[in-house]
Amino acid sequence: MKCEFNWKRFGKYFLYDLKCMKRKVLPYFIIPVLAPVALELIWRLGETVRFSSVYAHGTVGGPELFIRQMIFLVAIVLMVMFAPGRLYGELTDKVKGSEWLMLPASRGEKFLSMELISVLILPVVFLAGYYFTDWLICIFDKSVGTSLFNADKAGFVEKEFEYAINIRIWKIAYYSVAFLTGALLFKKPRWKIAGTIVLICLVAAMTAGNLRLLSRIEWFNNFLNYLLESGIYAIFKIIFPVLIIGGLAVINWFKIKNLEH
Amino acid sequence: MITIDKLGFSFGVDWVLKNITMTLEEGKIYGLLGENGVGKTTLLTLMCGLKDASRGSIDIDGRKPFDRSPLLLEQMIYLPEASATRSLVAAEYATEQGCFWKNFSLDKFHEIMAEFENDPARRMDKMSAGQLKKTYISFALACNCKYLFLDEPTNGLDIPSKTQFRKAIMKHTADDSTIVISTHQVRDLENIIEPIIILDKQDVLHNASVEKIESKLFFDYGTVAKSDALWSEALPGGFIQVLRNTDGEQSKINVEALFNAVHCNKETIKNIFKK
Repeated sequence: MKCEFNWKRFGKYFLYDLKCMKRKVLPYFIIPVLAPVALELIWRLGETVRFSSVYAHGTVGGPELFIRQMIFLVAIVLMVMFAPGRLYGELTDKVKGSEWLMLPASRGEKFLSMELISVLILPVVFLAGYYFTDWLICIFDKSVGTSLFNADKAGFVEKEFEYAINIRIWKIAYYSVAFLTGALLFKKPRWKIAGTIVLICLVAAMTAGNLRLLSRIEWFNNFLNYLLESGIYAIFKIIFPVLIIGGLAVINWFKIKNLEH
Repeated sequence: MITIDKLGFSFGVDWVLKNITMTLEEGKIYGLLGENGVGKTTLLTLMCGLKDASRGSIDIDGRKPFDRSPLLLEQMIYLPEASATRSLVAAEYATEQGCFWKNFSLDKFHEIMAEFENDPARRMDKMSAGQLKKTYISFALACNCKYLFLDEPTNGLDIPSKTQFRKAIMKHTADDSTIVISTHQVRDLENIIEPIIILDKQDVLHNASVEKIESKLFFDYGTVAKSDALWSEALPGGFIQVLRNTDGEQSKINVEALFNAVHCNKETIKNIFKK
C-alpha cells in the first residue's frame, strides 16, 4: 500500500475539515466561552444580594482569580470531552463514515488534518476565545484583578523549563487526542465519552498501582532517585506528553487505516 | 474495468460471499439482484473499498479499492441506501464536497436538481427522504465518475422521480462509465440495466447480458399456462411465463420473472446458460 500524500490536496482537505469544525463545533464553543460573562453576572448579583443585608458590609465586585480558574478548568474539561467526538465521532457511523472514507483524499491527509485540528486548532481556538472574554471582563471590572491569560503567562515564566511543556495548551492537547481516540474506538455515541473516561481511569489506576508495587523494590527506588538527581526525570517529564500524544496518534492512524463500513 | 477474482468475505465465521469471480466492463449498467441478505450491499462496499476482502481480490484499473487511493476514489462514487441528513443547504454541500472530484460540475448538479424539481437552496436537514435521495443522486451524477455504485437508488422516490432517475442515468453518465445498481425494485430499472447479475447465497447465480438472456429464455405473455415453463405467474388477463428459448424467438425480458425463474431452477438455468 503506497502512501499517497499530496500537500496541495492536503491543503484542500484541511480547509474542508476546518469548515466542518466551524459548523459542527464552534457554535457549541459559545456557551463555555461566554462562561466568564455569566459568572461575572451571577457573582455580582450574589454579592449585591449579600451586601444588601444589614449584617454584611463590603463592596460589590467580580469573582476572584481562583474562582475564575476553577470555572475555566470546568469549561476546558467540557471542551476536551465533547469537541473531538462531535467533530469525528460520526466516522463510526455507517452512512456518514462511508461518505468520509470515499472522499478523495489519502488516509495520511485525512489523519494529519484530524490530528492537527484535535491537538492544535480546537484547543487554540477555545483558549483564545475564553482568554479574550475573560480579558474583556477584566477591562470592565477592575475588581477581578489579573486576567487568566496573564496569570497563566506569569506561572509559565516563573517555572523552570522542565515545566514549560506542561503549559495548559499541551495538557489540553493530549486529553483532546485521548477523547478523539475514544470517539474513534467506541461505536455507540453514548460510549464515546463515558468509555474514554473509564479507559483513562483504568490506565491511571493501573499505572498508580504498578508504581506503588514497584516502589517497594529497593533498586527501583534507587533508579528513581538516580533519574531525579541526574536530571533525566526532567527530560522525561518533557517527552512524556509527546509520547502520550504520539501513542494515541498511532492508535488513531491504525483505526483510520483499517476502518471499514 | 473491474475484475473480481475468487472473492470471499466473512463476518467472523459467517461467509457472506464465497468465490465470486466476474468482470465488469466499461460502458454498462449492471443490475445487481438478489434476495435479502445474499450480500449485494457487501459486494458493492467491497468494490468501492469500504471493506477489505477476506480472500480473493478486486482490481479496478490496476488498483485495489481498499487501498483507498485518492486517484481511484476520485473516479468512483458510492450512493448508500440510507441518506445522511446535513445541516447545510444542498448547493453548499455539493460545493464543499465536489471540489474533491476532479470532474465535478456544479452546473450539472444544479441542472439535475432542476430536472428532479428539487431546490438546491433548501437545507438538507429540512428535506424529505425522497428529496434528500434526489440531492445525493444529483451530486453523484454531477461528480462525473467513471464508476458509480448505487445501492437501492430508487427507494423512497416518487413515481415521476423514478422516471427522472432513469432519464438522468442515461443522460448524465459517460459512455465509458461502469454503473452497478443494487436493487429490489426491478420494475423501476428493468429498461436500463444490462447485464443482469443475480446473487445467491455466497455465489453469483446468474450473470448475463440482455442479448444472451433473450437468446436462451423466452418470456411468454400469453393466456395459456404451459407445463414446461421454468416460471409461471398468473396476471390479470393471462400469464407471464419463462420458457427455454428453443426457436430463437425474441421476447421482452421481465426481470422479476427472470429473477424468480433463476431462483426456482438454479441448476437448470446454470446449465442453459453454460451451453
